[in-house]
Amino acid sequence: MKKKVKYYGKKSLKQRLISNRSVYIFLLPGFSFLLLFHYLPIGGIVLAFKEYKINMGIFKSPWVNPWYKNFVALMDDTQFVKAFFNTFRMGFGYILSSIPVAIIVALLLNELRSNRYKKVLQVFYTFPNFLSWVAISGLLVSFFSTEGLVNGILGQMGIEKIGFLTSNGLIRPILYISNVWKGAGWSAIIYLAAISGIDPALYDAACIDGANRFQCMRHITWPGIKMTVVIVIVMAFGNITNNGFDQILNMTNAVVRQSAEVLDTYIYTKAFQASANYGVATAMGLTKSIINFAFLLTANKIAKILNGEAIL
Amino acid sequence: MRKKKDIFDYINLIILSAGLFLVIVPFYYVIVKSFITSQEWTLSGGMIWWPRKPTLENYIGIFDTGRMLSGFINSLFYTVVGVIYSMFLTVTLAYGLSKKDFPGRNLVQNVVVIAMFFDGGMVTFFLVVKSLGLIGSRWAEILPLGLNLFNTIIMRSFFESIPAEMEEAAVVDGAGPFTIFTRIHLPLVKHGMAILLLYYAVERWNEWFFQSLFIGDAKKWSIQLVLRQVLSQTVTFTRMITHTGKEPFSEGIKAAAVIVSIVPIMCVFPFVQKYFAKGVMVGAIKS
Repeated sequence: MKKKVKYYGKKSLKQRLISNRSVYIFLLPGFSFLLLFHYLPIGGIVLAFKEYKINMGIFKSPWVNPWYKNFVALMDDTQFVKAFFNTFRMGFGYILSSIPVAIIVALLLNELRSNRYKKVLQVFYTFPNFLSWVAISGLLVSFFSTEGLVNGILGQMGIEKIGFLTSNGLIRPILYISNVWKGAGWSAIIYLAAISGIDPALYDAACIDGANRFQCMRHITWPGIKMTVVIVIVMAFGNITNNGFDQILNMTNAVVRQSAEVLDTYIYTKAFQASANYGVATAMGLTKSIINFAFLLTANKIAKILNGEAIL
Repeated sequence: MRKKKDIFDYINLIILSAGLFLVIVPFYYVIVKSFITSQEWTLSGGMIWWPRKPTLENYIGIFDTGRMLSGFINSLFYTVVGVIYSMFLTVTLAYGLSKKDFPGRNLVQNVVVIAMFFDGGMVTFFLVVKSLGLIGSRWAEILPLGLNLFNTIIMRSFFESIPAEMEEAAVVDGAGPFTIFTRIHLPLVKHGMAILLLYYAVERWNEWFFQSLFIGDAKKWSIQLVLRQVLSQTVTFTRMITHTGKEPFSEGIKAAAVIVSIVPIMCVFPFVQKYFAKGVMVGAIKS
């Protein structure tokens, strides 16, 4: 082996390039894709310091003066500032609602005796995750609307109709609940995977020692998945600025949108629905990308320390 | 080892079955709604558990416009072509990345990792697609989307798990790099590829956002965008329904459209669910 390494080391760069030429051919399509559709848009961020002229394109449009003008505009935009804080508020809401439910679902499924029923339940529980938010909004809006089933049941009980989807106070909880309904079953799979990695001998031993179900759950199952839970939480915080975009666009109407406005939805509205101010919208996008980058990087660092190795 | 069922088992069974009920009810409710008439709906006041006189009127209504059918066909096109494109990009890039010593490996590696953490945002992405002249074309829904870097990393680890001896033996036998790729490596990662294929298919079938930015012509819309129009601009849509003289029942139309968009996934899902789940396990182990 040693000899072989030395032999490779003696090859010139040109020889190594030639002998590996097939590797470059494999890399070419993906690499071109990334350059064109990922790095070119990153280069387009210069637009954050420009005023977009529709006939000039990104690179020929004139610079703004002073260079930070678009950023002053976004700081002065009270709706942007509101969306900024709301992103974190709702991010917490999403994390705090979805993770515990997923863990509970996994723990309960694991305790189920019948394997067949367990499989059936898993199919049903994970199904909503694979539907688009467009379809889910169709399902749940008709469920929660003033004419919907929930209000129908409340009406039978003599309770007045509640505008779940038109109330600024209720829309956020409704979004969290809908998100749990869609994703909790699917998120439970990762914990079930962790549980399946626990040595069954531990349960047998505990059983012989007279431990009951709850003691087994607390002292065997929980420690067995604790690390997974921690990693999931850390990664969820890393992605805290990316929550809800698709869902909010589909499930909120104009009446309650202000209560559920996050950075992504606000940038979208600013760029594509309002007066199409691309310069300011890009500045907002850049602000978001930088924050997201910092969160992701920190989360990855923490996960790396916890896990002993990188997530990526 | 476990003893006979205790009280906890029954409580657990009840909780999990209640969960199942909560998952099913919204589907059931919308299915029922899609089979009723506006008269029955008005009488029910939201509480409806069974259609007394089932009608296909709503389904006939949504297909009457031609939108639903064209949306369905477009979705099939975007999904099939999109998945092939995505798989090609992912598998080739992952294979290249799995190679250990070639000049520039660090550079390529960094290009991929940075792209995972940082992006230019939707505005400049849109403007780049626009400057490439793709706006309005069906290819705008295919070409700019498609390379999921997390999937690429998972695929790379599949390739990395193949022992190097296999390749060395093939080289000795005189196989070229492309023969080695197609004959030796690809068959060994076919499980990984099947999982990725499913993920990409769902992603493509459900995509509506970029399409709404890129494609304005309703004839090229996928079923998701058609459904979005049915749900948010119901009046515009129901006005296109001409086959009956009477006013279409908008709630029923919406419900029928939701069901039609869900049915394809509903038909396939029970058979492939375990592969999706396997994907999570693989992803968890590999990363």
